[in-house]
Amino acid sequence: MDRDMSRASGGIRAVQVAHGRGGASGWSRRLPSLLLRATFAGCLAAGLALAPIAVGAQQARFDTSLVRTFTVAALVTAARTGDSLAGFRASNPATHQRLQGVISRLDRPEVMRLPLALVARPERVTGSTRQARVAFVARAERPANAPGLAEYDGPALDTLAMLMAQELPRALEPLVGEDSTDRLLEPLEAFNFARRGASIAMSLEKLRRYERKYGPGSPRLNGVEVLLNYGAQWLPGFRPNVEGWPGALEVVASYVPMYLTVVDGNGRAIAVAELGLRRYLWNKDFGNSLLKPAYLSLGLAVAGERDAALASPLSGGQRFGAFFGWGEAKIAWIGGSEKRLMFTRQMQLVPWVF
Amino acid sequence: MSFELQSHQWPARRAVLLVHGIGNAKPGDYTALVADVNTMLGAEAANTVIYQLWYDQVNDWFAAKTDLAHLITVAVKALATRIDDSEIGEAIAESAGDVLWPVLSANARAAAREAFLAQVKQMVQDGVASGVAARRQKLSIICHSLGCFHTYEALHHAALFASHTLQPATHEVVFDNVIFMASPVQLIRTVAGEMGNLVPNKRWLYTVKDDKLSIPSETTLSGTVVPSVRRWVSITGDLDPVGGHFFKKKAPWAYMDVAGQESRVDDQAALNITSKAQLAQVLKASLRDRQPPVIAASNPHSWENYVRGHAAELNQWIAT
Repeated sequence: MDRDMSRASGGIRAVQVAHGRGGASGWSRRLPSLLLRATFAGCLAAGLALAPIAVGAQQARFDTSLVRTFTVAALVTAARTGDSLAGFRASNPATHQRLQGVISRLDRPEVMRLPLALVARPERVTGSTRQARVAFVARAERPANAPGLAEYDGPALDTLAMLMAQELPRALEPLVGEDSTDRLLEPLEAFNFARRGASIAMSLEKLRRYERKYGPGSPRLNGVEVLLNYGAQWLPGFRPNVEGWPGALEVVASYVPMYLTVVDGNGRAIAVAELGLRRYLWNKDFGNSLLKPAYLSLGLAVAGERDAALASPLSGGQRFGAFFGWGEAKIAWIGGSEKRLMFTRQMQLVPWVF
Repeated sequence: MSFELQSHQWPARRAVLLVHGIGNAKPGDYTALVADVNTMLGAEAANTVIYQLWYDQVNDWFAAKTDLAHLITVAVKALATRIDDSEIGEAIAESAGDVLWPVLSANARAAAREAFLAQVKQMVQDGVASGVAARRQKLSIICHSLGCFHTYEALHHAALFASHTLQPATHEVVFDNVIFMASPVQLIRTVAGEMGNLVPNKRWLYTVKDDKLSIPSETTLSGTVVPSVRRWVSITGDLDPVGGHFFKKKAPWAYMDVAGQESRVDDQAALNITSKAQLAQVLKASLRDRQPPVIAASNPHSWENYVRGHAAELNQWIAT
């Protein structure tokens, strides 16, 4: 943090000067701004030699190690410096006010000392952000994810980064050039780098879940289930949500030609129709063993009047019950005149049929 | 097998993402196309990183589990009716029908979009890790056929959802060029519109979402509209039905025409396809039963031909 602060200390001093004379007018108002720009340019020139970042022959080059070393204080300082350099107080008062609003929220020691890598999480704004206002963004759910970070600090950080990215580069580049703009906004780049890393992990997690539900290891569907699950895409829980996370549910409507049971000491096979739901378990620890399966299933089980394999359960005199699947292992119980407790394994013998 | 992203060190500020169309592509495929792109880049090839999006693995998950052949037949019939040409209508509908299936599966669409966005994020991240700030990156996408649909969907989603950290203003990720080759986006929009309520989760199908197709953008808090793409180009051929041309005749209901796009329509006379019957034969020859079509160089839909035919212009757009 000390390094962050020292790199931008010229900026901080200058901001304080400018704000101290905020009520002045004419030359007295413009002078601090000009002095500020001169000071910043000097600081940058000196800072380039000292700064712990890789500098190419022609351009400043971002160093990803900064993601670990920069703190919230660096981001706030960059925002303050940029705001002051760009002269937003006079030229863009709405942005100035918004920046100061979120900065005042974050400017607490317990927040300012937090590393950006620790506070960076993918933003969880759902729905259209085209007409988003600060209040809307700040209301977005985002759990406190670091010691010292209060409920609304996360959204405030997102809003600060949003304002910086949306307003500062185009205001600063004509004043100080691309290189200096990039140098000043390095904390923002670091914050976005950390957030993007988290976002990539989020995308890969979504794909892992899609693979669990649809990939080679998932239960195969029969023709009826294909149609029912096509229709279920209109229902929450079955379709992907707005952020693209897959729904955990799937319709089960299958014919199992052989559930196995024991009657009077003899093994017997019984055909059963199942109608229910399959729920996929997203936990990474699950999906690799019988004890920790990739999915559960539950629903109505229907058997015919008599115990028989490959028979139609719907030919009259049905016996009703329930089935429960723990991954591939399934158990079913049917009532009626001849109650049965049966077992089977999830499998598809004839593709798209049963 | 889990989904893997390509990651590269950047030698300079430029990267190109290639998004292929229908196929069973896997890492190592499309070598001829990559060679064509490198030739097109010329001296700048050494300063450009080429990424390829491999999303067929994701498509395969859905193809193996959710056989929507019957519904695709419904879509193909709707398309054939729309084309209304007894000589080539059926052949075109069959050859273009493969690009329609994503509209029928909201999950397949979302998964392919996620794979796309994950790769784009990794590309931007690689650039930053190589020392190039996001706002200085020179990013381009060249997409073909169904890849154009996924590109359209993904870019619109990214512009809307901050969670992907790819918004043009908030995250400073702006593409210099997105070049659509034989884009079926408008064709899909029309057919999906005619299929009406058979299309699931339409609310998040950007191809049909608004009054008209558009270049994705983000509106800043101060009200400035920042497009995600600086140059939006559509390249197709006058014999390429997927690109909205039915034997040298442009079909406005099938041709992608986005406000602000630069358009190129190739005269494909060099292919020596002089009759509708001949075109139908070429299109049918590319089809395979329950497998992706094989697009030969003689096919007006060939991606390689589009890249070669526009090498000079592409170089000007991407490499300068």
